[in-house]
Amino acid sequence: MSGTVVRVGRLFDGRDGAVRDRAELRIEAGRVTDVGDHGTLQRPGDDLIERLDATCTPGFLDIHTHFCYPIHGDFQRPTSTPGRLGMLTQGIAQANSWLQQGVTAARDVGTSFDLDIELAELIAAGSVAGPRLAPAGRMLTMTGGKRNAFDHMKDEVSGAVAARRWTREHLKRGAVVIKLYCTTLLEEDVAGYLRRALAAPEGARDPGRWASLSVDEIRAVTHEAHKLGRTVAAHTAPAFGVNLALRGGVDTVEHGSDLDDESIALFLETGATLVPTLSVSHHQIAQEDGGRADPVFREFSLRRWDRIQHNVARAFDAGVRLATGTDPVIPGMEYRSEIELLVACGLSPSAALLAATRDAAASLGVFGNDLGTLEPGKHADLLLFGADPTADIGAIRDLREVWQGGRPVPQPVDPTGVIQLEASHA
Amino acid sequence: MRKVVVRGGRVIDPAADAPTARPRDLLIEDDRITAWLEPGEAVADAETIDAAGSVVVPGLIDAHFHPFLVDIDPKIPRERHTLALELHHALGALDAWLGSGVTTVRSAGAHANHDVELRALQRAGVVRGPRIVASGSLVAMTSGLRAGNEAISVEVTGPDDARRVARLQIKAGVDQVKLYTSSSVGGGGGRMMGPPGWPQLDEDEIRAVVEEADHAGIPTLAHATSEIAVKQCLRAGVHCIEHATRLDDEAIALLAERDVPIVPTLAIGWSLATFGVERGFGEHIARTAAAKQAIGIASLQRAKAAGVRIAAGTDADNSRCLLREECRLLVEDAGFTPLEALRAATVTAAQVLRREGEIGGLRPGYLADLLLLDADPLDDIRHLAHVRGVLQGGQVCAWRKEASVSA
Ligand SMILES: [Zn+2]
Ligand SMILES: [Zn+2]
Repeated sequence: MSGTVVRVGRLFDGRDGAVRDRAELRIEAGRVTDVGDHGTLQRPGDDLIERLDATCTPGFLDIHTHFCYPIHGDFQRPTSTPGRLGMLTQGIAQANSWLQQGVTAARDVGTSFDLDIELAELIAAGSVAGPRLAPAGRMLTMTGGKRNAFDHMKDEVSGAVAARRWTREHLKRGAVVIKLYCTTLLEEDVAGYLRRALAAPEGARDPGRWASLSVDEIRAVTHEAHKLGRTVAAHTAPAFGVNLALRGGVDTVEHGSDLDDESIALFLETGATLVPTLSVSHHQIAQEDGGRADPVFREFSLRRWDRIQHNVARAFDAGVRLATGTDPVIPGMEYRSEIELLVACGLSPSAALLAATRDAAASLGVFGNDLGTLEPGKHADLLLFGADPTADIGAIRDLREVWQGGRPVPQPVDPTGVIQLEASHA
Repeated sequence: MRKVVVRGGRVIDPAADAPTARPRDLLIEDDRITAWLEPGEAVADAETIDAAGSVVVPGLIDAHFHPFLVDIDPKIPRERHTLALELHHALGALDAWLGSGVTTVRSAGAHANHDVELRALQRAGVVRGPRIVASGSLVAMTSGLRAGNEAISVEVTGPDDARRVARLQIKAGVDQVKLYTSSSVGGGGGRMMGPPGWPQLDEDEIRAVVEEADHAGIPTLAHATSEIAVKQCLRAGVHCIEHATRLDDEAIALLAERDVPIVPTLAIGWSLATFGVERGFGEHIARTAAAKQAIGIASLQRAKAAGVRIAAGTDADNSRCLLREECRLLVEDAGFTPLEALRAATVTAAQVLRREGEIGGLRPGYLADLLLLDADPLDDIRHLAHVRGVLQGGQVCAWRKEASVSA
């Protein structure tokens, strides 16, 4: 069988953060078969693609997306047809856009009506261009965790047996990852809570009125998911919730705006990954500029942003695995900023790139096995940049080509553009 | 204000008395045609769309379309259809129709009122396609549609129930209410199967729906395939009859007397007879479709002779079942002149949608929906297949790559 050799100036293969010069990859049937020096891999019949000025990296992974989240609408809209086609249309558009930005695989962590499971099927069938998608479908939360009766993003349970049953059912519905909404704030006066939180001394327990899944409920879920090689993502806000989730065996902790010493120790003990979703927090600050009337919202967002940056640096220094996830639920977000913000938190460019590739894949169980690095047997998902992003992270804005499954990805689809007609036999 | 002049074409306005393709430029301001211009007449600050060598006709109107029934592999059982799969195919179908020059479609039914939502996405500028005029779910009798097909309907028993459902449909935002009033001629399966064309909804149920639609100022349309169903619908005041496959003299006289148009949907019969086997429907379905088509064409010819208005609609079930095929079948199989077929797909279809004066013609005040063809469809209706470009509401929405224009 003939293949394709991609010969590049520099290669960041994602295995250890190093860059090698004058490298090439051989691809066959969508996968990497070999990695070597210039001129060593081409077999008779192979195509040769030369990109001698380019730096090649593995395709990026965004492990916190919500492609079908109705950014421009309201998913709680109380009608009989709550905008499912609108959510899907947006999901298709965002999947397209993320792929163009170099995200060749993604984990979608929570969607009303399990629409991301349907979207993942369309992508896998080749009908829609997008990242290889590990969908979570709807999330699981504790009794009382839904916002209201029209919150179709979540199911509620109480008890470990109920959680176990739900997980079995949800895996059958097609969830590749389980998303737990572990803690929820039960405050009527949110501004009042934020004021209390801002006033609380450093290191004090969060002053909120919280509901949380219990350790045995979380453990029931992780047990069921891990039997299938699937993973569990935990949305948690206060440190006590992070610690419960980690003790329950979750694979990733999302957001991480509040971590204590015990959290760091538990990350290291369990090998779990922190997905700090820097992009959404950062974007939120811009969003709240001149937004809500009560200045406490902005003040809290700024404080949270400081804490997240601090926590990322602290976790990284302690050796906690980090992975990129954007949480794109606000208009105008993009993927690349997540890598840049990791660098802004103090990671080296190559450490940030590992968080976007190898380490993100390592957080995804069986789904991540063939992703995240460029080595024999892995999917040939790769990016070609005009300069070396390990030397200057700014180079990730100079993305020249995106390959997925050994092929350049198609041009972006504009669902409102002019249709190109074929010539007829006039 | 954006001004555009479509220059150098020969324009057919099918609403005119004796339309021919005559040299004329069209001034478009924003989304509407605002003036007929003498060829070459100057307009300040206007963009030009070059229509030299083209024949310009109004954007076509498919009066019987189903956005969610096109092209889904019949081998995928319906319970395995995800909404994402259906949406993907619907967007493909809308593109195919728009690219073939159809700028408006009357959706004759979609499950869960999804055509209403698709219409909202179009208005929000998120997706393109022929402008959807939506019916939402059909109103059918309890156990009316075949097992497996019910999802497109809301089932009712009795006039109160019918009225309630009609009110809910109107509240959900439909542009018209669709009634399912008879089984199809030629059959199908299932335990409820009666003789071909047996009536389903009763007259009192139909009347209740029509009353509610009249209160809302919107029309009704009824799937009615046999004389008995058609007559019930007409007595109950239905505004348009779909399929009208089997008609007797009395039904035709009533149609003419009440001036109720019919939408014969020859394209789906042709499509099933032609592609049914290759699409996996089996010999039987293809043969039945052909037999049914002969009955439908005979009824259509008699209705036309009696002066019944006829609108063109496809009942699209796959992307080859296009409105230009309906027009071709009206000419080649039913004996229409090309002008009569073009009017069925423009002027009369606009009347059926209650949008006359706005679509289906090329004169000042109309929306700038237009289709540029390489040759005159009044000479040969097959010229509808040679599309150079399509404008919808003054915007170019489909255009042929000029590099590949070949003679
Ligand atoms: Zn999230
Ligand atoms: Zn129909």
